[in-house]
Amino acid sequence: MPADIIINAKNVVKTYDMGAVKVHALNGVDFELKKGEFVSIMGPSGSGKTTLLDVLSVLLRPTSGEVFINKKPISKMDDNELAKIRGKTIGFVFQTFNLINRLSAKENVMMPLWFQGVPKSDRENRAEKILFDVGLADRINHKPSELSGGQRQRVAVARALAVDPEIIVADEPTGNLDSVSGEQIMQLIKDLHKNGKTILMVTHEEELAQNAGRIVRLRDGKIVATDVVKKKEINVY
Amino acid sequence: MVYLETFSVAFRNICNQKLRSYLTLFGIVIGIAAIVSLIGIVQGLQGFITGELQALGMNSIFVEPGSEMGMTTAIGRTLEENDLDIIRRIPGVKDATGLWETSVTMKYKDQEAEVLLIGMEPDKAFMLEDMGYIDIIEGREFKSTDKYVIGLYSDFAEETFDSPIQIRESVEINGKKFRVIAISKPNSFASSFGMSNMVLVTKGAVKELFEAEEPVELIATIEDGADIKAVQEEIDKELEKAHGTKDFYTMTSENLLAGADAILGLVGLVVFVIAGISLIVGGIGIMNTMLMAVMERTREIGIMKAIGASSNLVLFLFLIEAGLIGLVGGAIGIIIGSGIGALASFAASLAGFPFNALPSLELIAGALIFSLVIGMVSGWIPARRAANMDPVEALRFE
Repeated sequence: MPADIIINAKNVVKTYDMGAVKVHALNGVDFELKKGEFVSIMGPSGSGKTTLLDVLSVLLRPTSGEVFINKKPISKMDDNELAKIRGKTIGFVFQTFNLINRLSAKENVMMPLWFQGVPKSDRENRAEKILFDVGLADRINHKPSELSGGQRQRVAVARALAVDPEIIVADEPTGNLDSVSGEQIMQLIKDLHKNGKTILMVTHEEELAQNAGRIVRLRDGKIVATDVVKKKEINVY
Repeated sequence: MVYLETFSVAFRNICNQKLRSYLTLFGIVIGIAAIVSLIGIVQGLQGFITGELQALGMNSIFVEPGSEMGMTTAIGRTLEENDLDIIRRIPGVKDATGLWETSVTMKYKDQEAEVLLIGMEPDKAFMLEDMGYIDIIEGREFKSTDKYVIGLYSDFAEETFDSPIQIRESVEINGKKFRVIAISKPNSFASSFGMSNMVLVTKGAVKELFEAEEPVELIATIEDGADIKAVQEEIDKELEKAHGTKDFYTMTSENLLAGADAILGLVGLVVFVIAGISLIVGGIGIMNTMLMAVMERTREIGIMKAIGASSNLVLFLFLIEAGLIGLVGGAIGIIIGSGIGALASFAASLAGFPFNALPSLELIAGALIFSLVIGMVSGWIPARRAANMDPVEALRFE
């Protein structure tokens, strides 16, 4: 296993027991994510792309097979250790934002830092800086209900960046946004990649997927194709 | 550091709870209020009774008619004046005296009142003074030559008739005029047992007017350093020998205290059961509130776990929330319970026996810790449920 592989999945199977029938969401997937890569996962509804993303970001344990995070097998870790990996190594951006509505933008961004034991004043400074970076300097103390969809997703991106993780995992990050906000968020993600973050993104839009360096195509729980995207677009920026 | 902050986060979360969550607090509030007020009252009574009995003297042995405590009857005159001589001869006994008691009607300026006549031996009156039975504030001591004279407690003298009885005035008992020669401080021990109508005369007066030749109660004091239990047993033995049967019983302040403690202990047990039931109900209330909170915040729990909150932290957070709810209920309960205690103290002082029913600091601290623990125990199942939640499922929860 080369040193720069961050996530490595080997023959991953995920089966859901739905009473009488067993649903094979993932059916033997092998996958590698290298440091600094930008990979899109594509596939039709029910192809298992979100399940794959959940397994790769250690939100979900596979039924069989193994996932290695920085060479460490997750089957040997308990739930608290997986939480630690998620908190430190991975930043999540969800389609539905998943912000905590009771808390202000700043407090939402501060939360993952709390789990890492960062002192409160440092958390506040860091959250304010990141919110400034994503263009929400004037929305720091607003609650999610007081923000537009695009602004909410930018808070979510800021939260994902709070702990300075190696990997940003995004599940349909523009799926709930209008086209203008969607473009802005996509631009934000591309900028993150350019600044060295490793990006793993699920999308069903071909155009968005083309932003990645590699597109993994999924069907019926299996990888059916892996395309390498031509890099000419990157030179534009 | 991470865990320390769960307290402030938990506190904020509680402040965000809806009104109905607070309604479930009532069980804890009522339970803790009941415990704090009733234990406060019981402890106050205990202190009061202990104080009174100690004032009576821990060196006194009382001999009463009847085979055991509580079996006393007004007609049961089984003690004899001769018993005093027997008791005085027992080693360790310092002195002994008797009380010749009878119920009579007293007349004063055309008004009548039932009184309990206590006839005592004038030369032994100092024993009653030592025990705090008598504390003359006006007038003079009884003398052996006194016959138709009477001593009154100041509260009796002031309150029994329309106009207060003054010293050197006369009252009429059984057609005989008795001159008031002494006014004593109130006997709080007697009045706390509802005997506020005692008046003091000589034993000679009782013997002559009521043909009550024998005393109703004997009191012995023991010498310094003597073993009160051993003396008590000796009195039991000697008097039983003289009477041929055990038609009397002896008791000490300690026996009385034990009796009072037993009664108060029983009251305490009843309190404990009642309060226990409401605390269980309160605990179930908290459990229900927390289960609702966990369900309502499923998505939030999912988010927290996804972005790095460990199961332990989630468990701890919800446990602290439940504990804080219990604590808030406990604090309100303590305030209400203290209010009830203060009212009880006030009512008791109006009724003539002052005692302090306010909860002690130990009781308050105990109640706070107890309510915190109840909250946390009740929150255990909901908190476990939150901690064990699968983040993926929790995130999809609508």
